[in-house]
Amino acid sequence: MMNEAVRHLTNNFEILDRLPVGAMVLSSDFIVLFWNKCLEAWTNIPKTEIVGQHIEQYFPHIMQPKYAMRLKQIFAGGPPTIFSAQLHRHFIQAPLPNGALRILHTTVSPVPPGDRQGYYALVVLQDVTDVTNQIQEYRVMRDRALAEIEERKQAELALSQKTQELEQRNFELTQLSKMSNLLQVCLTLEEAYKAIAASVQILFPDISGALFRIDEAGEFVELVANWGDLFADLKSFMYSDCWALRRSQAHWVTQIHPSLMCKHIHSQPAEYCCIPIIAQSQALGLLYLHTPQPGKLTPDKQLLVGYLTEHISLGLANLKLRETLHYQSIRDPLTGLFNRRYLEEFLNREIHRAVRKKLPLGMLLLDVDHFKQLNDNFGHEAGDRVLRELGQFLQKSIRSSDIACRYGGEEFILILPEANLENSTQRAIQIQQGIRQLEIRHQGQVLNRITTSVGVACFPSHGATAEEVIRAADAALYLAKKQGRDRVEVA
Amino acid sequence: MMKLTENQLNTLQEVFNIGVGRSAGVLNEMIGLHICLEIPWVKVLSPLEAKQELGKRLGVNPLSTVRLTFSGTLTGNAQLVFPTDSAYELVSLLTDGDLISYDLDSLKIGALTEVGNIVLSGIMGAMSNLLQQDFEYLIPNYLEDSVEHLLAITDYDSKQTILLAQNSFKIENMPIKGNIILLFKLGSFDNLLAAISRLMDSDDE
Repeated sequence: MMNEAVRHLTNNFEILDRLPVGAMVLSSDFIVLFWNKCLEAWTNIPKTEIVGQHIEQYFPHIMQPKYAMRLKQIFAGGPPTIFSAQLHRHFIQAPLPNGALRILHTTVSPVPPGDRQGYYALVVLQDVTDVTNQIQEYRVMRDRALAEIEERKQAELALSQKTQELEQRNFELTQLSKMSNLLQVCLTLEEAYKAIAASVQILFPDISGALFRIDEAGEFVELVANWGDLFADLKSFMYSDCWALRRSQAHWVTQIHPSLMCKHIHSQPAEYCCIPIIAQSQALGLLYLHTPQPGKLTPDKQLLVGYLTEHISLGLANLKLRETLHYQSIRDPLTGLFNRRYLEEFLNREIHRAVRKKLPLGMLLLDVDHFKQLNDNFGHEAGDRVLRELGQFLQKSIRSSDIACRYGGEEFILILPEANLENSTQRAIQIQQGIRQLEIRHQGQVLNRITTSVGVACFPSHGATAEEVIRAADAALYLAKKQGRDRVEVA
Repeated sequence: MMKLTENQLNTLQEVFNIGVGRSAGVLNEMIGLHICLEIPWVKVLSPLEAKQELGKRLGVNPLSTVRLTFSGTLTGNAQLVFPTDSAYELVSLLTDGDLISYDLDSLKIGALTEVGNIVLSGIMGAMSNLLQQDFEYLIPNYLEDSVEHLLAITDYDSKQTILLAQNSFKIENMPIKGNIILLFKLGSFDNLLAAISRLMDSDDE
């Protein structure tokens, strides 16, 4: 009966020989009923040999449940079933000329036998080796392309980070230059400290800090400005409490570079730095930065702090230089008193003020008696010595609102704002007598007692202008000289 | 429009439920993960209503569908429908990873079609057994499109009636959800009713 069926089928299915795909027909008992020419070529198994045989004899794996169960559904008339190339690569072993197995996409459909119950299974096998390989190559290429895109993205990100960094550098440099300009026009150290504190806050917005000044003697360090969070550390401390000041170089304590903590720090910052501000090899101050969060004082910030302190040092050195120059331009170098130029400036200002406030202003014109004789007897050095001593005495004898000037030669002027004639005269007498008490030594020798003649005048009673008052005082001085010196005369 | 009695609907819902249960079992075996089924939903609708109803239930996003079309005493189709991203995930699960990009090449589509095929064969086998009907099937195919086109109900006569059964499911611990849809054409409706009543009668016996 089987032979009859096979013959019948061979005639029926011969058309499958013309297909460019593998095709076979199985009966419900897994007997091969048809084997097309394409399969003969793929497997080298001739149709005449396999037809009528159980499939298991050639391809035993077909009897595994994952194949057999689904084929049985076909024999029961169930829906067609697909064995995809991805999940079942080789429904049968069909090698290529190079020995590799063909990758197959297999579709199985039920075929009614026509003359009896049940179904045959028509198995159609498509060779998808090329497509599969291409897709796999494509996947590799795609993965590589994706990796490249990712790499490029990373590079772009790095570039944009660099750009941001450059922008930040630019901002910092601009701020530094602004601060330098500001320091150029600061007249006092106080102003300079304020300008520095403001700039540092802009440059380090999320870092707290303080600026300290070092006293003239170089012993104490005092707070002049601070910013940021609550500043618990000492407002003033000893110079020697700070490692940075002791070593004259920046002292960093960071997460990456832990180091000794300075004695003056009592809070527990995660990171801090002390930077001495040095101008003309003298420590003028200390910049202190601290943060409770580790990792904030990055190497970038450290570099910036370096630039910053250089700018500050330069600015402060300039300021000190300007202060010295100013001092030199208004002071008499021998006595340290103000010079005539400053006197005129000061006097004009004070007379304006006196007019405005309707207050008097006293003036003492003082001349050393017999100064020429002193010079002749003891030499010019002795004369200079006397003038210097007088200068120091006068400086000590006046109120802070008064000024003492060297008017020329051995002549001095004292301006006493808000003093009337009576007060001025009294002060003149005190000073004149005080000078008489001075014991001035020169080269181990006590010089003769120094006496002075003083003319007293007052604004507005003796004149409406500076010149008029000076002229009146001069006249009074002349009178004192004429009347025998060593005395006070009132205009 | 033809109406079904509540009994008929309940019976149909039960038949559908059994089929879906069997499909879920098959899928579970294939991926080794539990399938959570929701309550099945069965309704008689016009083609337009069916389209609207499915649009509401499946959303407007592109869907991946494996469709098994059948004919015989009953005509219609069964579909396994996934949102496309769920389809990618499912293929990835079946092929051990390789989800670098969200695209489906023909290999992946082949795998997805095989899965759909197995699942839909499960449900159709159950339906066929319970209703004692023989179906003729086309080879299952894969489509990727919007709801409207996937259901292929545009070619149905607008005055006709459709029986629509839908059941959504989720795969445990995975971002995968899907739907099983069964659609019978009106022409086969009387045959269906006959099959149902036979089933109901046999239950009574």
